[in-house]
Amino acid sequence: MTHEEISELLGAYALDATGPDERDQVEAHLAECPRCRAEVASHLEMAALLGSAGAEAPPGLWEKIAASLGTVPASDDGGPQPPRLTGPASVVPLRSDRPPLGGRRCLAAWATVVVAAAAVVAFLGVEVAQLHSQVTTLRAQMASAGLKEAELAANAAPHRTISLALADHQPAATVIVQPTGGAFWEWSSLANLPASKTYQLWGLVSGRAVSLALVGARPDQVDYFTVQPGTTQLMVTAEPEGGTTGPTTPVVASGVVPAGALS
Amino acid sequence: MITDLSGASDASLAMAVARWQEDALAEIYRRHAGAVFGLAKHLLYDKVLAEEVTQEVFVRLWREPERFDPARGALRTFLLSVTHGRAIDLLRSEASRRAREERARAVAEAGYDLEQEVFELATAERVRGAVAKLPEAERKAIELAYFGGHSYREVAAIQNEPEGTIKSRIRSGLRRMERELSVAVQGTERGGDRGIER
Repeated sequence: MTHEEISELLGAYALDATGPDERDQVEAHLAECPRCRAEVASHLEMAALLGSAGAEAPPGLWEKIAASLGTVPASDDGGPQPPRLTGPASVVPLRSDRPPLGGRRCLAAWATVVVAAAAVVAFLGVEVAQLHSQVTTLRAQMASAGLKEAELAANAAPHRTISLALADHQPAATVIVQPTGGAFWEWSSLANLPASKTYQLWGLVSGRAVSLALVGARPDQVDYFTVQPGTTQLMVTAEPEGGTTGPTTPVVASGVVPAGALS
Repeated sequence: MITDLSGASDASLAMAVARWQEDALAEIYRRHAGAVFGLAKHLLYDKVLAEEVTQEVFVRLWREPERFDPARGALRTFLLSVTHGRAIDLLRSEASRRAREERARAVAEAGYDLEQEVFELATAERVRGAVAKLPEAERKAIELAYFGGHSYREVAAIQNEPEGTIKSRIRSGLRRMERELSVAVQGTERGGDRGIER
């Protein structure tokens, strides 16, 4: 649909009066069009004014809600769960005393990466979801694998799952993060790299890339690492074996760390 | 951690919810549960289903607080949008067909009156005034879509009008309402009032 055709649907969209296909098309357009986003925000505000017919909430309803906050059912859409742990720990935290490899070239590359990451984040609508039932499954699997650090992380509630996505919207990886910053790489669908390369996980802190971990050439494994406070994004690049102090290649996957995820 | 919950803004309460502060969610519930439940009950004509929707809306905010973006609108707008969407999903589901038929019968007997549907909060008078100024065709299209739970295509069939006409009426009606309310707020602010609050 053209911009004009989408625009004509915005009122109906705000009132939940479009078909599912049209709704999807409108939402895809909204991700790219600030003018239409602003119009929808205005329509939603009008709808909320119409819908604010006050009533007393039934007695006891809050108690029911409060009681249900700690238990979460399986995914609402019934979709497939991502694959779980498949092997032993292999993520290697990048040592802080690694000699610098970069310089201006790395800074320039990083500027490109930041732009690319912003584009990825803007267009992908990266899903960030709180972890609940997944942890239960994961915890059992980790216990059997003897991954004590990751198990410790999973046992301490609450957690968030940060989903990283590729440029084609496909899920690429998930990272589980505790408010304290304790984190582990849960699963990945990233393709294997040659042995001479490694995936490297980065955190964006105040516009600066901070290396979090080397994930390895076969990123289907798990280990424990730390995400520092102030981290707003997680990103993955493919780097030479041994890692680098700054990203030297474009971001292959990215995900947003929501405000409040880290204390 | 927020300690003065009653004085906190909705946006800061939502931030506190993102930090798993349950009493912040309780305060949001205290402020908005009536509107959420009222809209759900109005749409579903079923107290039990409305309770379920209300519960779902607040539990969802607890589990996915990042879905609320303060830059895109007020928390109440977000909660009511989620409520409306969920209630409409239920209305359109196969399982609710019987309830919908009963509801349609009740509505047919009672009729719609958008001006009477508007709430009685501080903004009611201004909203009612804006609604009253809408052309009849636009008001009717919005009524059927928003309160009737009909798609614009269904509204077009009900009113025997082209679908494009109904799309345009809904959009232009909402825009007209916004303009009217904007004028009303400016007029009120000149008079020293704080204007529309939600």
